[in-house]
Amino acid sequence: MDMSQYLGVFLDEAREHLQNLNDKLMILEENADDPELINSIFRSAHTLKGSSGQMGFQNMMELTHIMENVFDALRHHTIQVNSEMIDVLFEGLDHLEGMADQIEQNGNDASDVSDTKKKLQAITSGKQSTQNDDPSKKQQETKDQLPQRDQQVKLTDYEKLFAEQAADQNLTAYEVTVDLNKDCVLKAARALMVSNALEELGTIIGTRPATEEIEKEAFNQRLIFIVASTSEAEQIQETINSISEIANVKVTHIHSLEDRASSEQSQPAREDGTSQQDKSGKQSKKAEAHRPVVVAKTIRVNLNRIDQLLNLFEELIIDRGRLEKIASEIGNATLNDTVSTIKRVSNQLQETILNLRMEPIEQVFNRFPRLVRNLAKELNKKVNFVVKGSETELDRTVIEELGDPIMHMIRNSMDHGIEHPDVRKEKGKDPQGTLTLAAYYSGNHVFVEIEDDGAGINREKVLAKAVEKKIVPEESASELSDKEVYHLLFASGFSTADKISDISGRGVGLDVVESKIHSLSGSVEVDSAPGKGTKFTVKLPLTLSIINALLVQCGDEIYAIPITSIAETALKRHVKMMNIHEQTVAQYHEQIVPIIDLGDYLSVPGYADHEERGHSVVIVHHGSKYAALIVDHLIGYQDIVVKPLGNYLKNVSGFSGATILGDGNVALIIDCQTVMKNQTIPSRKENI
Amino acid sequence: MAEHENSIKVILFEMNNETYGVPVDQVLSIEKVDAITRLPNAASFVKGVMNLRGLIIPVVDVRDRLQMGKSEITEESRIIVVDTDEMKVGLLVDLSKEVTDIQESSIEPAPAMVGGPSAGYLKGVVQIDENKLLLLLNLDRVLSHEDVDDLRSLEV
Repeated sequence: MDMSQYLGVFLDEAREHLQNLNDKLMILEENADDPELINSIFRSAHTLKGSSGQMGFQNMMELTHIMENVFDALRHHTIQVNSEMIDVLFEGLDHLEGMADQIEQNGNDASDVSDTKKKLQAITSGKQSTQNDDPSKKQQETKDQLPQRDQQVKLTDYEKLFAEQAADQNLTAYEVTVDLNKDCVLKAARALMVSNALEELGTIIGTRPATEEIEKEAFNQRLIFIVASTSEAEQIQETINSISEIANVKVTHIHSLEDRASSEQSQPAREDGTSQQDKSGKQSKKAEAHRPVVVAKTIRVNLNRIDQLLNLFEELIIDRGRLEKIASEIGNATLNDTVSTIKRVSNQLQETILNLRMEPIEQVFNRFPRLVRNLAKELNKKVNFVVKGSETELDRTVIEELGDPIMHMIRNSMDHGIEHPDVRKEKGKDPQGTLTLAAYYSGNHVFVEIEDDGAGINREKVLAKAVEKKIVPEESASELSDKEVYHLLFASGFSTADKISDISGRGVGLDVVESKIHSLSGSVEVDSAPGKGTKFTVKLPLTLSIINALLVQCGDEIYAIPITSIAETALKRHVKMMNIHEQTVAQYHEQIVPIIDLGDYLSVPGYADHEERGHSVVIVHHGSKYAALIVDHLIGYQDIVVKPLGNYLKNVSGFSGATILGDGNVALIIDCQTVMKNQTIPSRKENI
Repeated sequence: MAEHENSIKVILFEMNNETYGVPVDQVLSIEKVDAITRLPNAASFVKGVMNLRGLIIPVVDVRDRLQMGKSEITEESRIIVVDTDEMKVGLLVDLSKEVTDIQESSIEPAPAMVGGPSAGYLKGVVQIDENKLLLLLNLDRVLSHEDVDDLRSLEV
């Protein structure tokens, strides 16, 4: 049988289970006695074992099986959780993740894991009798027997209400029991097909197990749907039967709700005598009954399709710009109305498409609890790691790039920020340090903060180092504000660690952080209070692909300046300019800022002797640095689609990309950060 | 039969009255020269960037890249868009001609030429006529940045 069509789904699900194992193992170390937790871990491992076996990945299945044995022993309290055990389990997880990557790339799971296997077996050996060797099998059998009964499910209050309403609307409520073939591969996919088919016939009021469980394949062969429909029972039965890999379908009317009461009472009895897992399963069912079942249906879409959609939309935006231009030239009222409608609709479309690309930052944050745990062990420090706002959503291109910079900052905080427990005790602090990783929205930006309650940054030490490394000239060192001093940490070739450690302080790291974040059009700031702690704040745009920009003209050329870099625009004659040391500078509010004539800077052909030159000024900023860009004219603000310049031009500096204008021509997008680099202003003190 | 298997299709184009060729399977399309946006700060042989149906494509003046002087853009100038190494780049050439089959066995190593591109930019030469040579471009070399950085440092 050809499994390749299932490979994508298998990998997605395998990764979800691996992530779940990852998360739960972290918690397990502290909450060893939580039966629900260990059950969840066991279930994930069990499912993973099953699906990898079905897909023919023997190596992965075997390793999962051995790990599952450990979880099972934990579940039955034959062994106890300890730190070394967690380490070995994580080692196993790492191997499994590696295998998943390998399967994605080469389609095989070959990897030498005998060492890890031995260590895992050592954990369970002696404490687990041979008959217990495959506990999952036994459990599977008991579970399999259960659903064979003629199950009448207990309805939640919400479902009862819905079923009653259905009757009022001349709909009939059915209980549809579907048994999948025993050898059904990827049950979740089948379940989705069944639920889609049912959705076409009526409304699904509820499912057993819950939708999330179905998606996780946490069920055996039997699925139960509560459906309200106008269709006859036979029709429903026929429709479901037409789906392949279905063993049996049973459709029963839910006649009178009172009838249910008796069957409900018999329910607990059935579950008596079964394992602990079933009990906890019931607990979660109970919990579920208290909240309305929100069946948010999801489908998995290949990312390429979304990118393709975005590309098509980008072309539409370019044509929209062209259309707007033509309409304003013609000046026909009906045409203008239509164009403005198109504009409104396409704005909504833009928001929707960009939302499709948004993913919770959780994916990145998820990796860090492990990192912090390992670092804490390595450094002999005690750290309480707090994660907040992991549900915050960001464009996936940003998310993919964010992992490394955050990792470097966390390493930095762990290594240089948080002190050793005995040092902390001496200072009267809690011996356990706190490291907080938080994400939140503000305006059109997402902020990510990494905050520790450690020693803080020593201004003098940083300055001395910066002077020594010639990053800052000695004369101007004392003029720098605290923030500017802290920011020196991001300068390249900077390292303040007294001794070079393995974790950070190799002189690389934080400067990579800043350049990465800049490449994502973001910025990073450091704040610190000596003795109290340090906070890194990363500011990122919500999306990178479509931005608002100001189009400006220089000679015959048009350039785009991202609105996020613009502080103000003005006519040149309104800007106060002065000469300091033969350099012309501009005054912007209370600041003296350097002047950059864009035409000269970009050596625009024929710019020098062109009469209309330099009528307007755009004050741009990057972080706390400002500059006055002189351009001929401001053309106007516009939504532009940012297109990369590509690999071939990756060494060309000064531009963050290009965009296609309404007339089909290409305009370059100015990267204000590089333009402002190397621009200096004469020292303030001497001159004003 | 064996000869057939070893033939490759190349697109022929002209520069400086010499005939050059690139393999067809590396060519995406051949475009007339439309608006090219100048790219400040780029190497001098980068003519600029152009819009190819929604993609931004750099345009390289091949003549300039081979250090044979700058191209004049005429009615006959064409941009051959090639796709190598996951990069799409437009090659500005004087004139594009037909596609032809050449036998791999007929490719000879490029001799050092006077006034022409240095042999490193050529994969080889093929005698296509009694007195005509086809110069096969080594695209990887033409589009590499290796000696480009040296060039740039000279310009600054």
